[in-house]
Amino acid sequence: MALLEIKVNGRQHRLEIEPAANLLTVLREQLFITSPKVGCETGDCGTCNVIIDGKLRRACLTNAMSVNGSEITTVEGVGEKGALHPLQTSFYENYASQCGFCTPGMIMASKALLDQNPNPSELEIKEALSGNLCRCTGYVNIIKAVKAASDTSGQEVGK
Amino acid sequence: MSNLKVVGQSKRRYDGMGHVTGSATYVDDVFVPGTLAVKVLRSPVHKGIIKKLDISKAESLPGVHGVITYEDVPCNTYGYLTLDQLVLVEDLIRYKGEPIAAVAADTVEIASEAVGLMALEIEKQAPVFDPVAAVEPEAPKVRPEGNILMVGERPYRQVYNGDIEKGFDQADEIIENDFFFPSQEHAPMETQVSLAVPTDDSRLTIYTVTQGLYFLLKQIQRILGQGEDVSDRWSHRHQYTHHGVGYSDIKYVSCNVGGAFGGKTELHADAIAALMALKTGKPCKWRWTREEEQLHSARHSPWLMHFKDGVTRDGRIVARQVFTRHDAGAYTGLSSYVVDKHAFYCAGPYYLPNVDVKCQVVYTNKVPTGAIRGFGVTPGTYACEIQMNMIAEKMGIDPWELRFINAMRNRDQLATRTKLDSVYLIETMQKLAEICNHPLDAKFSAMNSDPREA
Amino acid sequence: MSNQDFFAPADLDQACSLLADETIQPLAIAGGTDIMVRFNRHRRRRQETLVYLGKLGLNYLREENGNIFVGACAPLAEVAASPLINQKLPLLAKACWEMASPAVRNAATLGGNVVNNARHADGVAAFLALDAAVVLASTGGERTMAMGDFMATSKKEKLAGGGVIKHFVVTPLSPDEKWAWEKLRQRKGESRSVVSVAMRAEMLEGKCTAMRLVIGCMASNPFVSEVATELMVGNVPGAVLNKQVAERVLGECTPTSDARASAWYREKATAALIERVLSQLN
Repeated sequence: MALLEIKVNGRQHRLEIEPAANLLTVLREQLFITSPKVGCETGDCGTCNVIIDGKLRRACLTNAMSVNGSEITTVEGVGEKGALHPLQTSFYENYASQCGFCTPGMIMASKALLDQNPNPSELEIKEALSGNLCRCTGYVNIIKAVKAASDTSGQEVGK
Repeated sequence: MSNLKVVGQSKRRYDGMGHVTGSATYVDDVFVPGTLAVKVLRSPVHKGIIKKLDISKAESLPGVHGVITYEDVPCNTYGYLTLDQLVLVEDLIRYKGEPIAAVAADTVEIASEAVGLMALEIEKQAPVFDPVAAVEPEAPKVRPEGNILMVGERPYRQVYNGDIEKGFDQADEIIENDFFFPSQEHAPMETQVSLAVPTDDSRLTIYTVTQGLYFLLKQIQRILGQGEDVSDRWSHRHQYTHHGVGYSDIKYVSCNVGGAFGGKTELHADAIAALMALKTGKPCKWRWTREEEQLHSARHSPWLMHFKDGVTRDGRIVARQVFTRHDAGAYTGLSSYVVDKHAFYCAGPYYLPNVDVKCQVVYTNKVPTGAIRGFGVTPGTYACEIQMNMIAEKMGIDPWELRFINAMRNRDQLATRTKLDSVYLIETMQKLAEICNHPLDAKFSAMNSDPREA
Repeated sequence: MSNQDFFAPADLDQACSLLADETIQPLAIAGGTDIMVRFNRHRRRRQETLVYLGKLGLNYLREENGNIFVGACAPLAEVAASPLINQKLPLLAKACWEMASPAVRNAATLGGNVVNNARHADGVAAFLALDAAVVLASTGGERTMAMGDFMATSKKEKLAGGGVIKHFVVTPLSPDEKWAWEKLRQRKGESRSVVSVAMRAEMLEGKCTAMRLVIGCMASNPFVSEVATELMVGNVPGAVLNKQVAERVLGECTPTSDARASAWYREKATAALIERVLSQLN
């Protein structure tokens, strides 16, 4: 066993975990933070995307102990009903989800993009989402939603 | 229309907020304390007979709460229309990946280790994968009854109308083509997952990924010994009829579904999760890996279609003969139903006075096929429309005009003798031509769907 | 040793000592993008002691005495975005940018790519083309080897004494040098190379004076084509010569068929990429 200390969505946690455990399993099964999904466990689909110390990462490929001491953000920490992030509002208003399974991963990848590049081109959006798969929507509304969120003038999109 | 609150308005998805806030609950997001992890031993060969299965080392591994084989299943056969599919292999393995035994343990790691400790001895047999090869007399038998599903006395579903030979005699040209529609895997972002929670006295709550709750509830009922054909072991408890009170022993809960496209209408994970829950008395969750999803879940079958049309010089298709082979995989599933749909729709929305469609279900040693959007109809439509274009090219007729010439009209009959009374293909094509600026000959602009002259 | 199962040493010597201690069954982990896939696909209770390399500070990208030092644990995203690498080793920057996807690039390292030793390893191909040197640290001290020699070394020898790649040393590409990095894969994101060709070359008065042509995905490891060097150096590149080179280089290859491409396709596509790359010389 090993002792993991991480801050998730602003809340500090101290957990005993298996040293080989991946962060996705720890988040979901020990902290019950379920927005990062199990889609492939090989880092190919993007449904497990989280932001660790400001960088977009695959939770399924992140050895949890290797990010001991880090700050982690998941969709639950991006915004909530009543205090939504512009991306969440935009995804909702632009029908950027159908089954919704890829949506948390898409939002995290989009947030990581907008945090660095508040006004990306369509090509930059596509490149930022190139690690995310969606089997339902055909991506068009997702790209549209990210563009719409980035165009929100006066809003603090980078937060 | 001022009192309409929804119709005519753009509404947001009612589950959209759940999606963007991560609060949407999928089966794997449901956590019940004490849940065990389920893993399954799958056949490593395409076809064979199990000579020996030793689960003792798996059973005695610390952390394992239970192991099941076919002997633990009250009713091991199930299916939509033909009750031929097995929950767990008894002796004959029909496809690679077919479930043989299941284990529930404290963690996924222990369950995986336990599967690794199960010893299997298999007498391998030669499989057959190609549906064309599978119908040959010398082909290895996928199932004891042979590799073709009989429909009564015939080795195919047949839809026949008129007189096909007379129809071909009336034709000026015969146009024959082969069409192949390959297999497709749904690959939803969410894999098959099932969480079965025993509550009191063998009642169960099952969290399922299926959207076909009532389709599968019947099948689970049967497997758990609540249906008609109940084995003696369980009959002391279950006196229920198929349509009776038995439903109330299972609470079948649908969660948000992470994509399906038809791939979650088979009993992939629910039965085994339920059986493990009953065996161990503990909540059991079985989450398929991406590999299991891609390799072992039901997929859309491949379709091989042969179209032979008799066409007159002026572009009328007077006869259509189709032979289709549908590759069902190792078990029947929905295949007998889908070939009916295919046969009914092969003629397309066209008036064909002489029709002979034969659609054959063939068994092969592959994963059983299942539903996918439009299955049965999509391959037929694809073949039909390309055939139309090939006819147009061969006859030197414009493809739009060919369709106008042959379009169904009101009071025409389908090949199944269903009379149509609300057909507007002609008007739809006219509107389409307008939208895409395709000029139509006046003759076709003036057409309508009024009943054909006698 | 304690029964601690996870170490994150800040000191390279300590890391090597841990990795050299067979009694604890040590396993090095950097970005984790290869090793975690293995762990996830084959879930077992693990007996190994994990030695995390991410706290060793081996993520530097710097120029020193005319050479570029690429830390073995620098994430691909940092290498791809680095102004220094883009200016002095644009081949490497391009190779890193075209690997994997944004999230994976934030974790994956060139050290990991080289150690993972795959047929399609882009990091290996890029470093071979650049004629990089590998600096390997162990309990026995530091060793410097040419990339090709490192690839030829046995795994046992590489890991001896708790071997850890410290950094790669690369001579910067001068403005006069010609370079290329071309690859094909099934889609742009999250898709391993199906075929790849890399080149570092020099031209003088219309003739080729130096040539390192690296072919990836066509043998058990990416390799430097001796035939390409032999045929190109001293000659004027042109359509005829380039085609000849492509044909002869295929003779050095042993392509295989897999789920992503057939051997036939790999041959045809590699030949096309070789000609494309050589046509950039003049």
